[in-house]
Amino acid sequence: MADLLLKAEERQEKGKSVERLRRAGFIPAVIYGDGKPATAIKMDAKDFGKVVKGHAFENLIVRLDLENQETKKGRMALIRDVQMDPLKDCVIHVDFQEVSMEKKLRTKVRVEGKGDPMGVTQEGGVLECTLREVEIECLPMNIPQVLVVDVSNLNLGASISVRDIVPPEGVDILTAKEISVFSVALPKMEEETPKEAEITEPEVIGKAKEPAEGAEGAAAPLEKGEKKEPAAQKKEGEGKEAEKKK
Amino acid sequence: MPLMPARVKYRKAQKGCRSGKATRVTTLSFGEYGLQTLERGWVTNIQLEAIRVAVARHMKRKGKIWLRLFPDKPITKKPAETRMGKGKGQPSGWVIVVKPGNILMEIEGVPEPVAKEALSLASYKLPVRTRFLVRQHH
Repeated sequence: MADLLLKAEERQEKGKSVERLRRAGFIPAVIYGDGKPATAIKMDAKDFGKVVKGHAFENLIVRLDLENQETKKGRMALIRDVQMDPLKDCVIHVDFQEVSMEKKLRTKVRVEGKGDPMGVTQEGGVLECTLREVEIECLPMNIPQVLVVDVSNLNLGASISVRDIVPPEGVDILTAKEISVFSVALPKMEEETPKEAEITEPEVIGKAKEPAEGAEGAAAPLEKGEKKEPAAQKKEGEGKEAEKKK
Repeated sequence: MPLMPARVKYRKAQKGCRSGKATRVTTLSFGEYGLQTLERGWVTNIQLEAIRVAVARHMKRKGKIWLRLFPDKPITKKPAETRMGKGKGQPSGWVIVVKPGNILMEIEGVPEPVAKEALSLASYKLPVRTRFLVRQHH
């Protein structure tokens, strides 16, 4: 495990003023855990980018060098959560969980399939991933980045469950063993919708069904409009006649 | 039949506003690839059905498709050559209010080039700009 040092400092800005921090090039974060109260911190966005470059955010352990802290060694922390902006793809906020390197912790790890299943290559099936992460318990040093499962022997209709995942040494999987992770199924045949399908209105809650006339009117609004036109014309015609009489 | 609710409380709805960015349905939750909107607007149930068919055909009925949004807003239309007034028009369709950042569709079970092409075909059928998303393992 690489020793990643990240400089951070405590922040006073909270609530809406955090947006100003982001504009100034900082990332707001919080550190909690190990029986200590949660502390709001901030770090330079460029520094964070450099530190995590080439690593996956998930379960990355960094040494947080907090200014004005008693301990000069820094606090070992696990990146618990990273909030991203959905449009800009930039980091909005980071959660750090302080960890003790001697205590076991619980976290979630990604599961990845390796190889092309036989059911897909030979039988025309589709590989379905029903569980993307499993919960594990281990020492912070032993957290795997990803759990790789060999899916190349999967036939059509077969599946791999959590019990088939072989964790590395010192790692216990806590997720229920019977839950399916990968399966190969036949692709669902999409039903082609007929073009002449009738467009009906949905049922209105709390209202009794209208008589047939109302339904017809609702189904074909154009017809109703067409009926209105002659009426309008009649009215105009009547108005002109009345003026002539005067 | 295009997507529409089975039961509704009211037949007609007001236009509503589309301000702001999407705060929900903004991340890939089911599939490996997705189509994210970059603009705000109304997507009709017919357009949604059109993109579903286009993607399913390009994927040659392999893989899986998830439509993340449902057209639950009724829109009304007045008949042609009708004078203004005389009340609101009759329901004519159903739309989704999309905002920048919404994930419209997710797919899985096909290679990335196929997924990209399929969602590119779908984007031509939409009234808003979109982009192709791949699930990232940060």
